[in-house]
Amino acid sequence: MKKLKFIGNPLLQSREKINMSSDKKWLTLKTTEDNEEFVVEESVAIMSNVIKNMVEDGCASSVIPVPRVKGNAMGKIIEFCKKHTEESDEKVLKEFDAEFLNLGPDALYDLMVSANFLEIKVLLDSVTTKVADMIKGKSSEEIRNILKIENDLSAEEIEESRRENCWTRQE
Amino acid sequence: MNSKLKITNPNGEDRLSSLPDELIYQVLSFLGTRQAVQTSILSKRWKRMWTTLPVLSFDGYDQLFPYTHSGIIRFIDHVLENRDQDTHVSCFKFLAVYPFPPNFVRRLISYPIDHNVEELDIDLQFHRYKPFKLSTFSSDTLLKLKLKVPLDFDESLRTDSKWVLPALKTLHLIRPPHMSSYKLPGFCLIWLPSLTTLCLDGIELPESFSSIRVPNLTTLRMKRSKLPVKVWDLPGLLSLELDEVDLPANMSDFFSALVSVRDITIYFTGTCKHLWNISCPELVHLKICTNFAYVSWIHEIVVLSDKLRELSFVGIFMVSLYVHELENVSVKLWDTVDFKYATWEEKKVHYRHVVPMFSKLGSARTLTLDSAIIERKLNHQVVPNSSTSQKVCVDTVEKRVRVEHLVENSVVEAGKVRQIGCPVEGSGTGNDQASSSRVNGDFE
Repeated sequence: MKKLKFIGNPLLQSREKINMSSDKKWLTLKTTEDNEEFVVEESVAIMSNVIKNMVEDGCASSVIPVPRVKGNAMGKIIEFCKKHTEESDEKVLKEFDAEFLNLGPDALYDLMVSANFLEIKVLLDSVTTKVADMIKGKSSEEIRNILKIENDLSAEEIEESRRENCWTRQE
Repeated sequence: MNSKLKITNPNGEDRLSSLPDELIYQVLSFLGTRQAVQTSILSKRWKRMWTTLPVLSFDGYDQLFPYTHSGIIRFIDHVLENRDQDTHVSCFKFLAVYPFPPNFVRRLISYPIDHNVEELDIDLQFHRYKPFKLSTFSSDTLLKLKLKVPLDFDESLRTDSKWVLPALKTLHLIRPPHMSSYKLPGFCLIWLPSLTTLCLDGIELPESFSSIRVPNLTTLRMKRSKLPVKVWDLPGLLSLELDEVDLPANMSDFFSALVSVRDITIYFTGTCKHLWNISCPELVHLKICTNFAYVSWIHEIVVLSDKLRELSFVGIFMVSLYVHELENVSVKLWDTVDFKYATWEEKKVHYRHVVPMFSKLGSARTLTLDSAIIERKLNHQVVPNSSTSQKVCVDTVEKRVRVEHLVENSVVEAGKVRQIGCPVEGSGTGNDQASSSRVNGDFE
């Protein structure tokens, strides 16, 4: 029985990729808070609506200053955007997101605030869902602990709110 | 309770509260209204945040804090009364866990309608209510309507027997379980000029569907239903899904009428053997799943779609493809528990057909096989004409599969074998996900 051969030459593939990359546009993003620079492909950077608008309006020079976002958050964001531009398989992306968002509350907030500021909808939706999952079903004490919310209500105010909103643990 | 314990971050700010309102709303919108209201005791800033939250969802009743029947009614009434009345409702979801009084339900439904709701999802489950007049749902702002409620299809010319939904894009109707199947009256679709997506579950299309104009319809999903007798007129349809739908004998005509459709998904009920042509000129994605329980029906399908790129099967089919090169072919033998526990005799019926099925698949760049196929040690031609197949993705959700085993026995020389799921025992390069192994050797 004749067996057929399927040839794939991975070496050739990667060489092709490098050649192609010289046709791609690259941008430099510089976080103004801590002066870190990131070189990214334009196709990845425009996942941010803010950057996309800048590029389309032609006011993006070779280095784009990005305020309010810290270097390490920017790095994470670029990693996310890169993966989401490269990969189209939903299953793989889901796994990636779950792993990617395995962060502590502080890192999650930075990510959430930055994604909101940069208008990256996909990232923002993922992070807010994750934050919501973290506080779902938890008691108010646990939520305050997780989200580091300062409690400035007195015990009476809390009790009053509970009563008003017809919510008691026994009901 | 140590309510005065201050927990702040290094900057001394309250982290979540330093977020803008729109982000807090987004987080709250995933929580369900019950928990959103509970956030009123988190801090001063949070006290009244829930009152301006545009999302209302009374559909999750978590076991941690179960509500009594009257408790739920009281809670919902309280929310509707104390909510900021100037805030519109963007999305309203209600799942009737108990049989609530009809007046309560009516009051509940009118609230979002009166507050410019955009997305409405009402599920009355199996509780028996008097059918609702269609006009109950008339709204200028509604974009998405999902109902599992008994509807009153009074055909008189009275104004309250019709609904007017000028902005509606998505309509999803589910037949309540206690009702028997019925045909949607044609007039229900007439006052929906913006409709792009129609989903019917347990409800049939009107007989007059071929003469109803739904000019913007791009997506049609039907479940547990039947097609009308006359072939539909849907030149603009882009996506079709048929799940357990009784398909007529002249199905080929129904397909050829879909001149723009790009993806088709069909889940067979297997009530009879299907032989038909799919000749949709713009078809790019095709997915067909059949049911293991109906083992004797090996369906035959001829696909004449030049642009077809992705083909995905669950089950065994005789498919003749008249297409150019496919990008991705994904084949799973069976997706069900039935298969796992089937006897060897039962499985043999299918394995006999696997090789002829493959031989008809033509060429593909990526072939994804499930482990059940690989385990059978295919010693024959897999995809004969594919001289450019470079990537084989092995879906190994439950099993460990040896790479050499795959390569040796299914005659694919893989430059890279990428696995999805459990680790693959590669030949020496470890269990990492990326390139497990490069296997050489020609198989002539």
